[in-house]
Amino acid sequence: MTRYILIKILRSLFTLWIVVTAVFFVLRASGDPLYSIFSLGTPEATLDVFRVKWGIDKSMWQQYLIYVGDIFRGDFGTSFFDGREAWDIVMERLPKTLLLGGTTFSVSVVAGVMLGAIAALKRGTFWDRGIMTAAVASFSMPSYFLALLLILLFSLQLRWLPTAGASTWQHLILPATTLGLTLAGSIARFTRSAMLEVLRQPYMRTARAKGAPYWRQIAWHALPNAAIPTITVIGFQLGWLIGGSVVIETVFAWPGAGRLFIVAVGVRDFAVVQLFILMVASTVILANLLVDILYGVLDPRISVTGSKS
Amino acid sequence: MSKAAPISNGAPELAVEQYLLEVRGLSVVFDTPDGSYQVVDNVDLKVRAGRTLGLVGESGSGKSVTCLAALGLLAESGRVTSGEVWFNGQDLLKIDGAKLSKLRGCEIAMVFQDPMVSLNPVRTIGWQISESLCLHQNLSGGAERRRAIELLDLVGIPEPQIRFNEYPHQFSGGMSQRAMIAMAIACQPKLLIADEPTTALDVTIQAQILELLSDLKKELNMALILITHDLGVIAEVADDVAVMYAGRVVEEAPVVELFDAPLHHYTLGLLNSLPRVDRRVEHLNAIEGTAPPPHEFVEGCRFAERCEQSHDACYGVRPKFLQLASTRRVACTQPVSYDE
Amino acid sequence: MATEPSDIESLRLAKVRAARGPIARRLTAWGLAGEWLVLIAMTYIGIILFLALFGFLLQPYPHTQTDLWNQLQPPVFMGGSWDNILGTDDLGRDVLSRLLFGLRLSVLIGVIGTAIGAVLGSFLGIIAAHFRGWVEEILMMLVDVQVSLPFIIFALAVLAFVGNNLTILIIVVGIDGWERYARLARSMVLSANQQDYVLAVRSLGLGNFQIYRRHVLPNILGTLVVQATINLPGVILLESTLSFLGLGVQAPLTSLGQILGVGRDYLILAPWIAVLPGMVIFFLALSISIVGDWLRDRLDPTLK
Repeated sequence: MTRYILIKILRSLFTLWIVVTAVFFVLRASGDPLYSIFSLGTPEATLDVFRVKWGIDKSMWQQYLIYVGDIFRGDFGTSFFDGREAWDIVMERLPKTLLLGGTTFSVSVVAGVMLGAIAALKRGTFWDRGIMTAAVASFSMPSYFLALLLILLFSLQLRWLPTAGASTWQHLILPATTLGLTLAGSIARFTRSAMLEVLRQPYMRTARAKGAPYWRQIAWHALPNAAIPTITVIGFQLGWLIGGSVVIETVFAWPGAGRLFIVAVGVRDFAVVQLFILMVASTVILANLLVDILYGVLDPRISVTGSKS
Repeated sequence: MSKAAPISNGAPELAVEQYLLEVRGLSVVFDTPDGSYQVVDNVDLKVRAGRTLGLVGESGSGKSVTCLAALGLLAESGRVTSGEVWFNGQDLLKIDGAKLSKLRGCEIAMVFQDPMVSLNPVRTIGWQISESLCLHQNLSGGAERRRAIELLDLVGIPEPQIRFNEYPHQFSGGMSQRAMIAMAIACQPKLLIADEPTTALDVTIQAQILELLSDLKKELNMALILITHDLGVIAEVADDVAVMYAGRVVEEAPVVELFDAPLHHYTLGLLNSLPRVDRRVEHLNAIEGTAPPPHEFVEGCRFAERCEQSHDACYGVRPKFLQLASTRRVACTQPVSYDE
Repeated sequence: MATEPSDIESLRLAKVRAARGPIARRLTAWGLAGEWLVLIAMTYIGIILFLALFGFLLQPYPHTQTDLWNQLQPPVFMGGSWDNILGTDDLGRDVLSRLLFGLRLSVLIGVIGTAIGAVLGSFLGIIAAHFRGWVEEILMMLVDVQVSLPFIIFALAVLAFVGNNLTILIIVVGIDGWERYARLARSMVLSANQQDYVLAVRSLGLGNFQIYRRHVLPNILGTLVVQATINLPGVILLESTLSFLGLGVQAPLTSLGQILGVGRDYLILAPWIAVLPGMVIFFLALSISIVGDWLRDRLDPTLK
């Protein structure tokens, strides 16, 4: 088991390194960033000063080596714009993103799993059809459009909730709802199919034959089995959630890291964009690693093969 | 219903003819997208305390469904349309779900066909046996564990302490079935229903499991319903036999009488198709044709199409039971005769 | 006459069949009888496809024609004039004309993008399954990399830094989802290569290319097409999101997402600018999802 996890960790680090390298070179494929920052006609002499200052006078490979070396020293570079450390700029915005993402994630996982389980248990009924139709609709809906509709209804028409900002808890409701609906929809769909698969297994009949009450059959026999495939899907949804929050933070002017990213991308702020992508990739990779480990914990069949290999 | 011998008044516990389980006129319908099919048609079964009833028939004859329906374990698409299931003075089809749950796994337990998939893969064997105890008996955690280990030992699982903490995938098929049996007998049920308990297992293991079942039956003084398509199994373990064909019981008899002198032509055909060791046969006499699927069930004798002795009276009307003794009856208008 | 009753009977039956009509029979044959939602979805997709192909014939004005005297006019059903059936935007441009033009581009990008992803991913998957070994390792590593970065973040960064024109946009949007096809194609080819018939034709000395073209591809094509149908709404939504954020389709061209992005600033004054394209995208994605699910259940229930 330890060996299995160790290999997984090494593989994850390798993946992360590829992402960092790929992003570094893709971002520099467009040529000298100074021409897009400074207005045309700035004397080359002035530009050279900045080139030396930002270390972009060297060859691409040298820059890359310096960049990777700096990462190991915990230095993620400085923003081309306000000259502050990229780390500080991103860290400043992170708590708000974690607040929005964390709320959305936990609420939609709970709601999605519950709705999916209900749909499976009431298969073929009005509840099942209603929940599943809503689920398909929820991930066909462009999230930014849903955001606009909610703003139109709750902020502009009813004037119940604020449109933008993050100062009070009311500000959290609309962005979290927008993000969460799509997430809950896809989780509900997966939970339902996992649950249906489990419910028709012979061991569920064994549980009934034992005389286990209905709630016990569901909670102790069906759910632990249905959780195994569902966990994987939920793990994968985390990446989707981060991508979605970039859009939603922009629509609701939520002062988080996602909005920072959009702004940084717009002004081609290398250090900030690179750090943001590095953090997102690490988060997703870490989540997938946790899912793998959790998988082994939840499914006794996996941990055995893991320790054997 | 019963032309049984009169029950002696003084000591009811000695009343041999008192049935432990009595199924009367049970009918089960399955609803599919293509229509509804009656897969069990007016079935009567009687099991006496401490005895083994062998329920024999081809797959699809409704033998498993009958037992599942009696315990309220039918899949969603199945429903009971008529009948009564009397156990211990109550009709299992009438009592509410909670009461039935209390009975299931406690007074009546069931063992299923494929042990590998009938055990929950994410729970340890010990957990699953302890659950049966926990649901029906008030034991402390430690006592529960000790009892579960005892049970594992009882069904012949070596090193029960270690096996207690293992998962189903670490068990072989035979061991899994032993664990299933341990789970079923955990609360010392009065009746154990074993649904093709050996079909999924290797031949050598089959004999061991059957032996285990008969031993346990004697030891715990349970009644046993053994569902099987294998007459060899019946000959080995059963006391009484009910033969099912296409959703109906066609013949009931004590085991020796059935093998000596089968009355229904279907039973005779089954026996003739068995390989025999006591005499030389050139080829096995399999019954011509196949059993009808549920959508081709007719009202008259359903075996008539395949029966060499069939005549006009076999068609159109359901053949009445011919009661030959209290434990012997056959649903045939012209049973096999042994006059010569 | 003995035959008379049966003749009448068969006549009656023929009438019943005729009354049910060829359409009803065809629907039953395709498994669509009673699937109202799927039928509605298909009809909607049909209309959208028609408008995408021939909408320019119906376009009342050029999509870029401004009319600054006629800004933010409401659509007919909100009290506007018939000159601009769906109203006008902030520069007085006809919303209907812009919708038709934007729809064309959105559908174009969605379909070409999906095709790129499907072909690229499947090709890589087949290559990996054929060569195994380190080729397969590299592909699986690339899949890991792709999965570790939410695609929209990658797309935004590339479009902002590498530059933006329609070709780059289509390619970027097309890359989305390649890893799904790659995994699918790889695992299917791996199992197909184990099949007896493939082993048999191989032992006959048929070349690899011929084997894949004639024997393997036809067998996995159905599943890949179903996967493409399931991916299509995602690709359309991705393009619309990028355009909404201003990094997708650039003026003077326009797409549904871009119209919505502009309309966002006039949500109070002129909600129709944002709501109309939003509805079109939503129902398009929904319809394709419904049809995709139906196709999957019908052709390939193993996909999930």
